[in-house]
Amino acid sequence: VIHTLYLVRRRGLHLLSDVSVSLPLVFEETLNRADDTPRTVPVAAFATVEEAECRARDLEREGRRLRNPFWAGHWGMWRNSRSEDDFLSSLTALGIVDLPKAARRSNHLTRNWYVWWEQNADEWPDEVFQAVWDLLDLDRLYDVVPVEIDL
Amino acid sequence: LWEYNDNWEEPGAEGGETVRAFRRREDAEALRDLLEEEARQARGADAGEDSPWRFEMDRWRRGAFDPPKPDPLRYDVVPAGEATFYEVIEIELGPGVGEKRS
Repeated sequence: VIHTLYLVRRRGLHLLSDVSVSLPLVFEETLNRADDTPRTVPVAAFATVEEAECRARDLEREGRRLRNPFWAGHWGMWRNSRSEDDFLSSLTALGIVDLPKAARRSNHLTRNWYVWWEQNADEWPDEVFQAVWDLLDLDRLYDVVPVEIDL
Repeated sequence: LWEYNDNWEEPGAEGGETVRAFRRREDAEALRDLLEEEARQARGADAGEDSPWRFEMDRWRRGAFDPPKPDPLRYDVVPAGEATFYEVIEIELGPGVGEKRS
């Protein structure tokens, strides 16, 4: 009998080190097929989409404690639909005053978000920590997809 | 799973194609061992040559969220006979999922 289950998946990670800047990089990869399916790791299966989405949300909150969103670079625009200025304003609105200073590097100003996160994130109350991650709205580890399975 | 980097095979991102699902881990491990042996023999055919395939296994020594140390000299490569080609992934089942029906 074919049943529809709801699978919680985690994005497949591929971590490397960039020795030139001494920070880990996260690579996004696919199976290199025509449909370019992103690589994922199955985590849990549920009978209802509500249960699956609830578990995915819990796992997302836990997973945020295990990584630095700026592994992928000093300013991960691809993780964030906001501009850097908007991100800075939003952090200030959350009560975060210790923000990374802009420094000149290769003829343009950059902020070392990676080091800033390493030095500060563990000090924030959980609601602030989660709110900062929520600002990084394009960076999500878990999702839910329906799958058909013969049980 | 493996991607050649002009020097050795390195693992790409986690994830891949699911082969089969089992209720019991021992059953999954048994099939994994069988498939692994076949893959190792197929990929290890040139082990006696000057430049046999080499596989970088560092990813399995770390957790998924543990970034590697930025040390390009610390590569852990093994021959095909010791490489991983299949993994057993254990998933959580929600209430009522996967129970045998009488």
